[in-house]
Amino acid sequence: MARPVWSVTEVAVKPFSFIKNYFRTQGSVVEENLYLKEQLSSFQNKAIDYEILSKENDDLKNQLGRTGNTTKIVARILSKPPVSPYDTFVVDAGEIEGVLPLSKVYVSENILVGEVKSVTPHTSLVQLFSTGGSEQEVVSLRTGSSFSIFGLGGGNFKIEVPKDVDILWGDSFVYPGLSSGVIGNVYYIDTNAQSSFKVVYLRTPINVFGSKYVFIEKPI
Amino acid sequence: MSKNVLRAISFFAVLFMVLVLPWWLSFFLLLAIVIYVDFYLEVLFFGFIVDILYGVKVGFVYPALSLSLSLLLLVYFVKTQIRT
Repeated sequence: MARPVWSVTEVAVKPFSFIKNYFRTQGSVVEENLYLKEQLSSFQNKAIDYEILSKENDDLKNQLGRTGNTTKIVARILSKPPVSPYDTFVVDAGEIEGVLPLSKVYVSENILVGEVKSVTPHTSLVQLFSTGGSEQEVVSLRTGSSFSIFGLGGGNFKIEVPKDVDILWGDSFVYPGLSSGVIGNVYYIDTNAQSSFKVVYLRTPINVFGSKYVFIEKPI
Repeated sequence: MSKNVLRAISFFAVLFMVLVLPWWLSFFLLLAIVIYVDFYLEVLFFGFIVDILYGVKVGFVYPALSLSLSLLLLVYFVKTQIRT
């Protein structure tokens, strides 16, 4: 029922979203252009490294007999927070497109954000791992230790661990498994002299709510 | 235009807003309507729609519907107390 409304709204609102760019000075546009060119060049180099490492990773998995047996479906986000109050997305792929409940949802090739909770013939409801009160098992990419992270909403998480546990700023935490996707990075560690625990805050590496498309894992 | 036709038109307008506006804006919009319109039962439907579209079955299943009902009853109670 709501699908046509969401689709029409996106088409109607899109032309107005760039209005503020018409009021910028030429100097600021040139400056930004130079900055973006530098960034692009840096990211192109990283993309080459990424392709090489990704290929090497696939080759190693093939040699060990653990080839990936999943593919990904691209789905457009129809509705997302702040329209949705529960940290959930509605996407335009459903049962007919091959989406199954509990399928994992990525915002990029390796950034995992949630899982499918319910499916209709042409839409699916995706719950983010960061939904308030939800708990998720993760593994530290640097040390390999397992932790339970708790959702705080809006792509944020927290872990409460003893002070001695080895977690540093910038550490990445991944979903446990062979094809593990990154769930979050540490951006703040709150330590208190009065407490023997520290609270570690994480967030998803990219802004989940800025994405227009997601990738839903589908078994082959 | 009769009162009923106006209410029917406003129903679709509010439904559209609930589907496209941020939830907190929809909340204040519905709160204003519940206060302004006498016993605005439609708010229960909007609460139900929000739960059905976006809610996940973890813990309490219908928070928006329950909030709508509480709000409706609270406003009704306060309004009747003020008038008597």
